[in-house]
Amino acid sequence: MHEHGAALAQLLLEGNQDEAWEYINEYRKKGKDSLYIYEHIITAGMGHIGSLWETNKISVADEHLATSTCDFLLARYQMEKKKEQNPSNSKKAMFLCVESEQHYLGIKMASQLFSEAGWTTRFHGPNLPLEYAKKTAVDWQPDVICLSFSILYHAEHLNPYIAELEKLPNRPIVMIGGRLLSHYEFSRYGSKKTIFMKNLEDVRDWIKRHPPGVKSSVSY
Amino acid sequence: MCPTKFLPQPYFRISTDFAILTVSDRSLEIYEPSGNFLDLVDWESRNKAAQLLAKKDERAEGELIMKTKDSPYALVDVSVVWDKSEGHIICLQKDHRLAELESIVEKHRLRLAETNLELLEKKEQVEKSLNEIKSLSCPFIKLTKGTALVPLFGNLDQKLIQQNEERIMHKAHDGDYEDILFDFNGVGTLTDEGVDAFIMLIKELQIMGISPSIIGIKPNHAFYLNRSPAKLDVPFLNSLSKAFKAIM
Repeated sequence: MHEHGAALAQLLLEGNQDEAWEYINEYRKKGKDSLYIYEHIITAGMGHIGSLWETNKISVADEHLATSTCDFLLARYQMEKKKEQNPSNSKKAMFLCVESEQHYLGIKMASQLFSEAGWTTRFHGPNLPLEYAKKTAVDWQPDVICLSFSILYHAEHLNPYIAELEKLPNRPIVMIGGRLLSHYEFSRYGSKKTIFMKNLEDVRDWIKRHPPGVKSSVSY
Repeated sequence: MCPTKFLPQPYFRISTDFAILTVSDRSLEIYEPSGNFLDLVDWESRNKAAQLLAKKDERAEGELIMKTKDSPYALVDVSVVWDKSEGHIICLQKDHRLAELESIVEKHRLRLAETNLELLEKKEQVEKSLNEIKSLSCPFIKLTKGTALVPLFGNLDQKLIQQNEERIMHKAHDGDYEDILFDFNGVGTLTDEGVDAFIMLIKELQIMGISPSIIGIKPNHAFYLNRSPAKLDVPFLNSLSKAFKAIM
């Protein structure tokens, strides 16, 4: 995992889209699944970039370049996966980062895991204020709404988002994710129904237990 | 009076345990009053700050996330110089115009990403349509119980044959046909690879016991067919009615 982190991080920091793509595509061709590629290659790469900033080797500007290169990588990977995935059916999931939150790569990977499993997904990216999230959810009626945050100060947004979204007429399942969840407990911000995901493996396991073809009233 | 008070940038003079000894007025405009410099640093940047401040024999520079009056996590360029037991720090907040520019670039990037995907989708649609066109350019028409007509349309290239040969051979076999007429009246130009692939198809049909004939060859077609090293052993006729009479 560390080996992947440093190797991919280098390509992302160079903005080298083509070689970064070749790097993950090799593993795809060898039969590694999306969870492995997202968690052990891409997340490890971005984690390594974070540690390079912490040790004063790169600046935030370098991180921005790496983020946008990584974003392209994810888009291309999803295009490739789309060719082999089942057509999406009726179950819908929407994905967004809470207000002010700019770190969206993690939730983008989560949304791609959902769509690969046959869910119809809508990815709203970073910084979606609650009023827009609510309006979209009222119009589109998703079964699941996934929220992400990575900065501790943004955890204060969780409470209103969760409360407002869980009481929408179609009673969507609200799911929370982000890098801090594997280190800290945030359940106090949610209700008994809210689902907290520690990592992408949790997301994959939840998707496996809730195939999109089966409508269910069970919400956890 | 300490002259550093009037420095036009946030300035901190600290002790070896990072206690703040003096600040410039500009520091107090941007940061809350604090006893220790590390208290002004975001919790996730404290290790980095401690490492930066520990470099006492050289000027150290780096980015830190700091708590300002406006934001709990502002990105700041920090420079530190130590003079014996006192550290002198300048904290320059990243220009907000840079953040605005970043957000504009981000919007453009999103737009480009969408366009890129839309283009890729369109490209796939076009490729699919092209394949359909190629299939439609080589219809298999039943004329009588034992005779079928295959009019070719467009350019005779390798792709046209590759995409249709299997269908033609299956239909010829399943329908128990004896004669198949390939009509070149609708063919534009030929390629060498296309001619080779076509000759292969003709030979395969002959092995299956079917008699192919070719009609409507134009001068430019003749040039290509004659140039190919593999010669065709089939009747060439200049019109469908003649071919029909020959078969009947």
